[in-house]
Amino acid sequence: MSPALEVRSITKRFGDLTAVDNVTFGLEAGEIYGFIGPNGAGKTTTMRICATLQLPDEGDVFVEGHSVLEEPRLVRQRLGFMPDSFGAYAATTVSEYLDFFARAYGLRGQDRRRAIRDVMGFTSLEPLSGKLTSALSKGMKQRLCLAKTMLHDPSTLILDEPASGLDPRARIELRELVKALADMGKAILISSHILSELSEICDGVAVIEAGRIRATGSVEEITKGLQPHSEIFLRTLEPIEIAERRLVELPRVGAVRHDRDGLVFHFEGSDEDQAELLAQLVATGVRPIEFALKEADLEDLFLRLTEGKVQ
Amino acid sequence: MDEPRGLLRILDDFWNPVLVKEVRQALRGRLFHICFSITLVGVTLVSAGMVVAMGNEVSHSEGRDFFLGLFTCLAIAVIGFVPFTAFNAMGSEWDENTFDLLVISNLRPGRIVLGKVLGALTQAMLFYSAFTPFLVLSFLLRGIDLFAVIVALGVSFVCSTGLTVLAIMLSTLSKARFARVVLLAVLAAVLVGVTSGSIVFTEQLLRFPGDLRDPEAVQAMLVFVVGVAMAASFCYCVACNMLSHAEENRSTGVRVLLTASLLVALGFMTSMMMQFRVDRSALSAMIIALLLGSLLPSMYLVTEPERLGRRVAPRVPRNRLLALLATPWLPGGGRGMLLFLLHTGGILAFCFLAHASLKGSSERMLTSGVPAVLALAVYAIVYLGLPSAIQAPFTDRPKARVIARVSIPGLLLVFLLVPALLGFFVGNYNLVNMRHVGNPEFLMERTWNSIHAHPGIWRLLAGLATLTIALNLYRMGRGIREVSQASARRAELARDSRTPESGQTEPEAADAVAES
Repeated sequence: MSPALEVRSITKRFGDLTAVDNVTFGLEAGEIYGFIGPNGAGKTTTMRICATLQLPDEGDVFVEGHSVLEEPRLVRQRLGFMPDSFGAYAATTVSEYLDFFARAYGLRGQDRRRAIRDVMGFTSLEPLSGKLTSALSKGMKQRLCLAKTMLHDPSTLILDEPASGLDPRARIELRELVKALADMGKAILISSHILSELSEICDGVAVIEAGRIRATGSVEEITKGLQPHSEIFLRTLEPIEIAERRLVELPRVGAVRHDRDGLVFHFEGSDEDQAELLAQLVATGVRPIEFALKEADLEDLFLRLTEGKVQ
Repeated sequence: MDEPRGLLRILDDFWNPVLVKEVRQALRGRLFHICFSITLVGVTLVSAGMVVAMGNEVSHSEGRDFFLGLFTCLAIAVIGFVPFTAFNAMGSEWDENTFDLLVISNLRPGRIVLGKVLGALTQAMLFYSAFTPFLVLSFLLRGIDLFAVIVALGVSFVCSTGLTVLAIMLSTLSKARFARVVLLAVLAAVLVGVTSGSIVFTEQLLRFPGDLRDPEAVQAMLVFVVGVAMAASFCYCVACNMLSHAEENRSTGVRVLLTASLLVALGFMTSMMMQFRVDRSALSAMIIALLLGSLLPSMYLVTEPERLGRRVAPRVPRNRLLALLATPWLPGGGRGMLLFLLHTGGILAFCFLAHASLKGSSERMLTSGVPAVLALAVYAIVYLGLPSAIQAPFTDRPKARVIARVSIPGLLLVFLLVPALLGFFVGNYNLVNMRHVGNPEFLMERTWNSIHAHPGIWRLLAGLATLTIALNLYRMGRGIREVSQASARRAELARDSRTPESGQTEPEAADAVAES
């Protein structure tokens, strides 16, 4: 079976600028894939190509096996795109807005009414159905945009910065909606600047900078690829300098740096080796009050993988 | 939102979605409310004023004056306001960031433009219906001809429709704010001109209603309606093209419409020749007008990017013969030149046949404007073909395309003005007064009645035309080859992917799904 979304070696140039350079990745049904990168990295261009709004100069994108180049209409039937800027019509209520797009997607009669009812229920917009779209809060507008994106029940969703500008509560609610959509079997490509959010919900990520993919895979896979050693955080009752002096003398301990009121050091070894290290440390007279494996998060990965290049 | 019932519920599914949205938005919008209220107050005041002024005595001119006052208000609303709202409605898709949402919702550009036009015309119909009681009152006051009233209202509706499509077309030409302001100013000038013209026309119509019964007046009205319909169709095609993706087919609609328009015009001329005694010079003048009319769209077509778009190539007919026949109507500058030569050849052939069919000696065949038609055709080939052939390798880039399009009238200006300037410096007043080979009008005027005048200029023009065609042969040949290759590729793909079970190919299956 064809993957839900397959981006195959796409390149897009705007004059002398190569906005997207040989980008390849893919995602399966039910998978949430994070697309991260600094501003101007080529995220939106890639997403617009996937949504048939722009064409790649080279390569192609396939949605359930249908090419965006040759079968854009078939792709649009299978794909929902939520752009980063919400497009609202003046003097239009929430239900009229959804009704218009449901008609535009070719939904008729009962199907149209059911689809509108379903997406309003899913996004909890029913109480606002008679409200003008211009009077909605940012969070509600994003919900409405998501509802519009889901009207034709697409198998693949592309969400460009859906959490941008939302308050914490609205962000959490949006995250829950995205999770629920993935549980429904939809493949979701999502970009965001708020990396902590993506790391919680994404099955995989692609890091892009200056139009090039820097890394793809799950957060764990990328972490392993980036750092073969573990990082351990240590806080002791003794002054930090004493602990550092004792620590560097122990085997398998690599670079040590100060972090807040403790130390972070590289360590190469298994869980048993870690237990052994802790025992040896205590034997040297150091009294640890915190000894924890420091897990790399998406923000760390992002900072390590990208160089802050702006196009 | 209230749900429709019964028949309305069934019809509800078949409305154009953009039409539904536009009408909802317009009826709730402030602009429509204000304009509708002002117009109604205006027309009520006009009515009240007329009734008070009349007193107890009703003369035969009261109804006419009253109708003219009403028509003025109505014309401002349907010819001035309605196209203006259509311009805004299209522009708001960019201002409100909704255009991308429309595109990905699978609405074709044609449906979007049609929905906008119908939305604006629905507003126009609301104005007409609001005016109906007043119009009936004016008719009851007597002094006006019912047929003249129908014609006046019909003309206003045709103008409103044509201008609405024009407004939407202008609105699609640019997304940049400054350019949109300029386009709006152009539209406003046209709207003011047409509104004023329609009021003057109606005034004349009411004054001399008997003229409407003349067969020539009927024919003139027919020409007006067909002319507006053709112009509106071109505007519609251009608007659809502007909304389409650059790699999609943005050309075939214009090409087919251009061919159809030429055929309609030639058919009209033939019918005129059969019904009336047509003067040879008048016939030549009509053919010259036709040639000139075909130049503007041709200028656009010969400067298109040379290659077939990436979304067009997979749609070329699989049948080689069909693909070959369709070649001039497929996108591409070389194919545009091919179509232009076909059209020009067709017009010239019609010119010779039409003149041959007219009574008179065969020697008169090459007089009465026929040489001028020939001269214009040769000039058109040179002015369109030369710059477009030279710039063809670069037209893939939008900026180069604009330069290529500007260079066609630019070349004409250079050929007109440079000899005139040279003449100014060397004291040759023939050149200063544009009596030189660069000016098509000079040769057309001089050779109107004799092809034998200025043989030197004819030789020069023949040489230039041959050179132009030779320069274009390569791109035209490449255009034909590309279509042929795309057709072969499609046929090959279809053969490879034919499934033994259903006998249906993958593209056919995909088309079937898309259609469903």
